[in-house]
Amino acid sequence: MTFSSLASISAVGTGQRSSLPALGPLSTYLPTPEDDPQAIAYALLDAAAALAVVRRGTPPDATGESLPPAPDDSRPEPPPHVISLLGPLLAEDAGAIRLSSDRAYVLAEALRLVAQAGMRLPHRLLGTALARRDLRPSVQPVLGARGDWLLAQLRGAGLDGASADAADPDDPELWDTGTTEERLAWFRRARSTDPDAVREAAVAVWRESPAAFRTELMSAIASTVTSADEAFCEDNLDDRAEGVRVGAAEALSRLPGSAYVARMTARAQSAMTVGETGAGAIHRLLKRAVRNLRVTPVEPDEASARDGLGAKLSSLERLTRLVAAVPPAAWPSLVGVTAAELVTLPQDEPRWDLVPGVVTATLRHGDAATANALVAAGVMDARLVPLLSTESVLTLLSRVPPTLIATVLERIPMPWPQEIATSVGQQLIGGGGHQLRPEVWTMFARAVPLRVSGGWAQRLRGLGQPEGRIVRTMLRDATSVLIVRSVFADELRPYLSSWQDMQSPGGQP
Amino acid sequence: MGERWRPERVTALAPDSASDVAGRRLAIPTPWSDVGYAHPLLWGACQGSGSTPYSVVADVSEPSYRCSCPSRKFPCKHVLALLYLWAEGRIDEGGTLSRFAAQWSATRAAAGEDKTPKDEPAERTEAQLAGAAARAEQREERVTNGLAELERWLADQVTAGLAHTRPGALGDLAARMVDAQVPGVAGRLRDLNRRPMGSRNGARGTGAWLDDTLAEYGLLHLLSRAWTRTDLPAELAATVRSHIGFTVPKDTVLATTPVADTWAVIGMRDSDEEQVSTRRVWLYGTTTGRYALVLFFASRGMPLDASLVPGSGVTADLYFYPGGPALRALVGDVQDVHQRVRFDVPSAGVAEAIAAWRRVLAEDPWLGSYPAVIHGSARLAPTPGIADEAGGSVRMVGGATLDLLALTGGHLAPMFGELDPRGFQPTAVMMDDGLVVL
Repeated sequence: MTFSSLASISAVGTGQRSSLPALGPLSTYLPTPEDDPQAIAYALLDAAAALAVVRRGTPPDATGESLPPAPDDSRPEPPPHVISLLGPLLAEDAGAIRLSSDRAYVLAEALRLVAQAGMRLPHRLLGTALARRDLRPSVQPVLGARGDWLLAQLRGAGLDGASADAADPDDPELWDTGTTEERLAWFRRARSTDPDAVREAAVAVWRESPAAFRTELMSAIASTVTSADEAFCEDNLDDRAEGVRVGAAEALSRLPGSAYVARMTARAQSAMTVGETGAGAIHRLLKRAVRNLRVTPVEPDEASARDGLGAKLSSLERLTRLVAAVPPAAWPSLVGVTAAELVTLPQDEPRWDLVPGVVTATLRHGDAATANALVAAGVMDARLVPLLSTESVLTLLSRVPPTLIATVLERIPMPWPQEIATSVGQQLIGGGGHQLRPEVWTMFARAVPLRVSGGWAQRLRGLGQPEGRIVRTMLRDATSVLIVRSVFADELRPYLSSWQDMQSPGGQP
Repeated sequence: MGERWRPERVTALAPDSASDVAGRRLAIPTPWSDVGYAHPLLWGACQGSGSTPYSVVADVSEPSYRCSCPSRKFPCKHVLALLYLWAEGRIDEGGTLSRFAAQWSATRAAAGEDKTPKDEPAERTEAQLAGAAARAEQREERVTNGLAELERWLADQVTAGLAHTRPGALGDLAARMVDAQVPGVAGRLRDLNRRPMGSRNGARGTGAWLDDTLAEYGLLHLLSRAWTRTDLPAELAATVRSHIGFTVPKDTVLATTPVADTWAVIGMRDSDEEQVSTRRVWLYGTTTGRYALVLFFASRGMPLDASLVPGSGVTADLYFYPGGPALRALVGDVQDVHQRVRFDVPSAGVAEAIAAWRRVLAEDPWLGSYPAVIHGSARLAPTPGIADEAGGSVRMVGGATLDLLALTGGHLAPMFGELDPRGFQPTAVMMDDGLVVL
């Protein structure tokens, strides 16, 4: 009699009539009169006790062919102090840093430094590091031979979350057989390697594809558009789906030599005239000409509607779209003034706000010169930040209200240039911290260049206990982050060829 | 200068995980000032939310500590943070002894001088002895009645069918066993009650739950039958009494012959049960090759004894409780403490470990697990397990699997752990630089 057959009888119950045929083998253990249910129950419990002990003494084995042992590691471990800080960060222990987002940032930066220093994680941290799939991209470069072996073990056992035979995201088969999300993901990735072939793949299925799918495809094309896409995009200005038409116009407006841009530029030229103002006695006395801008709103017609300037839009919306479609560098030849001058010229009433359109065009064409000139002319639009020089960013920071400083800072790639870090840091320690949004402290602690992080940590420590609970909390958090970052920098600096190695690659706050 | 602690020792000192996390969070230089160390005293001031920093002092030789904060946790997060800073090498010898530390040290010194040897406990009177005997007799009667009820209940369950087990029935029976002063049985019933029913295929009363329940019912039946036997050998009778929940006075244990050795701490596990925290520490005699289990208890929130640090060793006398296999022990005189231990581990494969496990099961069929050492290589694929050079293998269970693989890389190594019906649960591995507890 096996333990399983005993379990089956006990599940039904020895007192149940249906169990009687199965009870025969129990007599091997203890003969019992079949008419005494309690005696049968005791016999079963006796047998269960005996077999339970046998069962307990037979732990399961683990047969099967295993992988060969791990090869030796050639890269060294980081210094002990770095390891003692990495441990809690990898284990998501609060450790020295309170906020989990701060911990994630500092950990990613530290792992990058360890990789740049040619080091690897110590073996005792590998289990924790690999247990967190969210860290995989940061951890993979510092796994070393032992970590790579451990990862292969996890995958072999099907314990790595991702199945070993998961679909390759670059497999062209996905375009034909994948889900909508897989097809879109493949399309976006493939556009960066072979845009023409990928566009043709889209053309082949265009007619039968639903509007939402076509809109997504056109959006992907717009962000990677080349002149070879022009004909396809031009055709799709007539698509039945508005999302596709908007995407096509967006794509074409990024091509300075396209027919679409030429049409829009011509409309812009006829809509705007820069002339001399007739009024102003003082100016006449000084014999100085004063220019002004006259704007004639675009009247919608069939051709302009096809180009995205339809009657459904207000006059201002049409004008904004029109200006956004004109490359900023084209304005001097159109109206004799630069884009930055255009937005500051006086206008007759009603005045039209040209800034949104010019900023959009500047961003579309990545025109850094215009972006800097716009800021110099007083435009305060945080979207321009990625195109701005450090000097222009400082100008912008000095003009925007304190509550909007965070929206500027969050667009500056990390680590910040030292001048910007100094400006923000001085504002924080100079008492401005109360006016700034709390996240400025967080951004500052993360974005200060590593080589000066220790110095800033000392300065923040020197503030003691400022008034206001929120400021005190933010100060304490920022100081902790700076201290931990500076420890990583100090400890790993000797193994790096230059401070340049310590710059993180354009991370966002 | 005394030997610096390892951070694991500070972790072991924390009264709970929340305190440990809070202590680690404070273990950065930011809030600290006036820190210093002059063996054995460690001191510092920690800026809290108030205007006055908390004064913290610790004597790392004992350890004992004091903090001026109002926390009821002991040690508090400030003490833990200061110890972490020191253990991580961020506080060096030096610094001016703070006033708080000096006062505390002086007070302790004075208290130490005032201490006089405790008087021997007074001999108990005849009346007291008679009362104790009557109480013991009364308890034995209650246990007999309680186990008879258990026996009937088990038979009723098997007769009616385990599939018809009423939800909550096990909890009710456990409460009755507490009343009958059979706490060991009550604990086993509560453990069984916590297991999910129908965990394997979703159907209530089937699969793993059914097998485990019948096995446990069989073992409880065996225990209650064993209680009624008067002809059991003394060792087995002691084992039965310990599983029923009879305690053995410390004095009785300390009156036995001690086993002297350098004992390596090969595993530690903390658990909380209602209002009591329990720490189980596994020891391995580096000369005798014996295993021992030392238990520490504390009220929830209070610190558990941290004198046995995983990976370290103590040269000490151990007194074993009666019953077979002799495993549970009390630590007597400690002659020496070793921060790290390195010793020759006997070469043993899976077969030897399982054979030893079976031998102790024959002595104590109710035993939950037994320590083992296996010279083997750990692997995850195709099944998590340990394989030895002779081709034997055993399933590997528990949360330390990945860490063990990371440390050993699939190479042969001596691994300590607990063997139980589910497989081998690793707790430590001997590396080139000493024992590493997982």
